[in-house]
Amino acid sequence: MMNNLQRKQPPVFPVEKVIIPEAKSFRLNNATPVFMIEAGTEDIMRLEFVFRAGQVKEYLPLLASTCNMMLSEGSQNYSSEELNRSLDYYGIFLNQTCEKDCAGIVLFFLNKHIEKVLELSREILFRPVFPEAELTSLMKKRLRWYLVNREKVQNLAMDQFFESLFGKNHPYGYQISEQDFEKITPSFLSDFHSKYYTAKNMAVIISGKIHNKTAELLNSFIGNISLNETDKKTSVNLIKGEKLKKVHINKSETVQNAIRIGSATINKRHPDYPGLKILDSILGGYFGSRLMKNIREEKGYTYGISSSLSSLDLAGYKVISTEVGQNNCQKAIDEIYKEIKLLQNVTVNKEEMAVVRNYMSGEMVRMFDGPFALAESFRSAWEFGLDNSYYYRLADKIKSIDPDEIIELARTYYNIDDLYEITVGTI
Amino acid sequence: MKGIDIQHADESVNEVITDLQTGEITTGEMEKVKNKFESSTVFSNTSILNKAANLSFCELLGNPALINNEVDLYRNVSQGMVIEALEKYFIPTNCSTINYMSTRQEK
Repeated sequence: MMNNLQRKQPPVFPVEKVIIPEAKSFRLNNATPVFMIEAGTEDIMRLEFVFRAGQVKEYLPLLASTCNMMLSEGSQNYSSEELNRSLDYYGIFLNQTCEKDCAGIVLFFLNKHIEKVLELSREILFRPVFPEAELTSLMKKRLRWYLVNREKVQNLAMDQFFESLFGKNHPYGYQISEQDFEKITPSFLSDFHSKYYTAKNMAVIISGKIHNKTAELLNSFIGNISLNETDKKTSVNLIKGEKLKKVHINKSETVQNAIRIGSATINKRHPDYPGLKILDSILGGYFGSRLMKNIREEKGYTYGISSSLSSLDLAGYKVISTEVGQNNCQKAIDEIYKEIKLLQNVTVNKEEMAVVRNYMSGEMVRMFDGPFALAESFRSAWEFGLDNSYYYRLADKIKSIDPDEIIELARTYYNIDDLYEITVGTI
Repeated sequence: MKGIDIQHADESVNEVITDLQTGEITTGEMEKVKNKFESSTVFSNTSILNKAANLSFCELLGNPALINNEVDLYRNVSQGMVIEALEKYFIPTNCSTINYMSTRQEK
């Protein structure tokens, strides 16, 4: 039997060139920008409505996320139950998303249901009524999730990390308290909705084997939504990191301690970002990274350790995350700094560079596999005012970066005195 | 959830099963489930990675062409077939239940 499985290994081809299908863009009658990416073999579409309506716009903790979650809890023409039953009946997947900068909805559906999808989208996005009973029930559930999450060291650490980096008063940074769940009312939600869920504040991103009447249908359902003037008075709250670089939160009866080390940094708009992404991969961005090899495989302090680099509109941030046994907490922290210093002083050898280049090229190919991935990648560049040239620059950098440049980047962006160090658990 | 007896949760689940056994399955409900199946099957073929996995699974079952008519197979399921399956598989004595309880003191 085993002989049947012994096949010749297929040849391996390195990634040569990534070619990304371009989005076609046009505007609806009310000037809303629409981007269409034609891709895929199945008769399905992904339709995303994205608004500049994320947490950064909220004037009360939880307001942006609650507003987003309540969109499908009842509209002028349908109750919450009717809306959800309809989505269910047609096999439409609805994701409601609220992030730090943007919020909106994404729908996945079979092309034949496009009219129903657009009709329901219009109800959800532009005619929500925020019923009191549904709000009370949602807030009860959210409080429950919150209390469960706050028992976990990794969540306590991440919440504190954002507060330290972005400040107690900034929506990127402030932590939620139990009292915040009582403050949200239907009228706050309506007010937030009318300011930020407007045609002017919106873009539509479509991908898949796009239905030939899409533009026409979009115009008839969404194209006449009036262009409310977005509230211009909201001033941008400045980011100001907390002074204290090291914070320990004591939490007893936990199995492991959580560690978060990192700082605010450049975002995608900065020319050094692609290089920093590569540095981050070497340090802790993949399974064979320096941190994994040292702290997991050699020392056995943890099951997993990683670093990541993320982009927000007003800043980027990098963070090294791990959970370790209590006795190994300080030792793990020391090793993390040691790895950073190594990258600042010793040239990465050719073999390791080759592994990282291959890993990242493969990762890039996956970022454009299929219509859904394409739309997500498009969106995460578009959000920053960038286009596919950002990905071409990243691909070039992966191929061509010089080890000396890695040292330079590590010295510029990983200054150890600038890093915040958050620990949660028992020391 | 805090404050809800596990017994009550168990009974609620069984109630749904009994409802299904004693009640009627409407055409609308059948249509809904088939729509949902169609949509999730078609969706699972949108990335080359998933498509390859689905294809190899069908091949393992002995028929790679299955990937093209799986939706039709489900489209042809009748109410009678569902009831038959219910009677055959949903027998209380065949059911194992695990209650996974928190030991944490309620505050």
